[in-house]
Amino acid sequence: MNKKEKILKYLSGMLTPPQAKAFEEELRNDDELRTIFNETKHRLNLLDSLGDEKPVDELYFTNIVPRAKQKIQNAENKKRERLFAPAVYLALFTILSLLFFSRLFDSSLQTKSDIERAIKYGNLTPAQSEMIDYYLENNLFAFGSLDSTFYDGNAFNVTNLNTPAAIDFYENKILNDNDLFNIIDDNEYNLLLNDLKKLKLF
Amino acid sequence: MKTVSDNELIRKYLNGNEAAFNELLKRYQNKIYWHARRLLGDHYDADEITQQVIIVLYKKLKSFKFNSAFYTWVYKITHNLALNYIRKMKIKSFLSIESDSLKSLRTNEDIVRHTEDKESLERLNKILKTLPVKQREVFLLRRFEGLNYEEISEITGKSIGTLKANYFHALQKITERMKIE
Repeated sequence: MNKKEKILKYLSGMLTPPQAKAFEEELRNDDELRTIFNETKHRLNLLDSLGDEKPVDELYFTNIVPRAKQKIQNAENKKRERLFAPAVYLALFTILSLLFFSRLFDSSLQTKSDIERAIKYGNLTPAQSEMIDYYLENNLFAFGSLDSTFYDGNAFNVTNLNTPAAIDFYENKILNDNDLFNIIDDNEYNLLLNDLKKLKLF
Repeated sequence: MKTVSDNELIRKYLNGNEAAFNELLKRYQNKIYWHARRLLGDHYDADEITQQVIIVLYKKLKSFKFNSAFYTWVYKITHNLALNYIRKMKIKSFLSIESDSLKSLRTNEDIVRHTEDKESLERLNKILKTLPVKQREVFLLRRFEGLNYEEISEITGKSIGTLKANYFHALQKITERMKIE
């Protein structure tokens, strides 16, 4: 083992206690070893001075904790977004689907084609069914310009509804027909009235 | 005035005292930063690691078991995060995916005020970069942080014999390099 290696082993703590003691003894007596040892120590001290803590912008350490906390907050927000995004998309999809299907099977019958479709698929409110049954049973659809082609049992021929005679018929028969309105409640009546209004019959 | 121990501060924090956490950080943030800076070589990376360590401490302090000293735990977290960071940087460097703006930020951003201090750190960085990461880590923990082999072993998970050998090789390379300079 050369002198330098011995010094580095001593500084690294690789020597056993007796070896370290012997080295220290040698260091006291060997001038060359002591010179190399001092040079090595000097280089390492120089290195220490290069790397010791330097004066820095104090604001950096004042702000680092708030910055780190902000980072945590941002990460949590992102995580929450990632976690809730599918739920939001699902909710949106559900709402849109409900809107779509409720429009398809809407018993409030917003347009003429809604009514036609509703009749065709049997998706009528009780009041509407009652009305149609009532007028079919009593052959009231044959009144004035209206005849049985108005309703053939499967589809509503709505084009015939929008005539002055039809309007007159509905105004007289529906609004003043106590028999019909005795069997429907206020809510059903309002629905029926709205539907007829949408058909521009009122 | 009696100084409150790290463990006392942790207990206070665990009992809901947020200020105790800030006090703990105040004690260690410089050490974390300077250890990371010597290990990684520039402010940009050191800042990244320091923030990551603070985040980990914030999240994990509740699970601190008091089996080891708080400072060795802090160094252990710093050590693990820094090594992972170095691995990631090596991959990025290998794949050349670091943007030019980031490279420029890395070079220009610094909190060290004086030019001569910056130059000293640059010299140190050049010397330390000649060491493999494992040797650099042991050298810094022993030489600059003043930790003994038992503590370094707890931090790095390496045997004391391995650490001594690493330190010996680091000293060899550094003293040779210093001789050239």
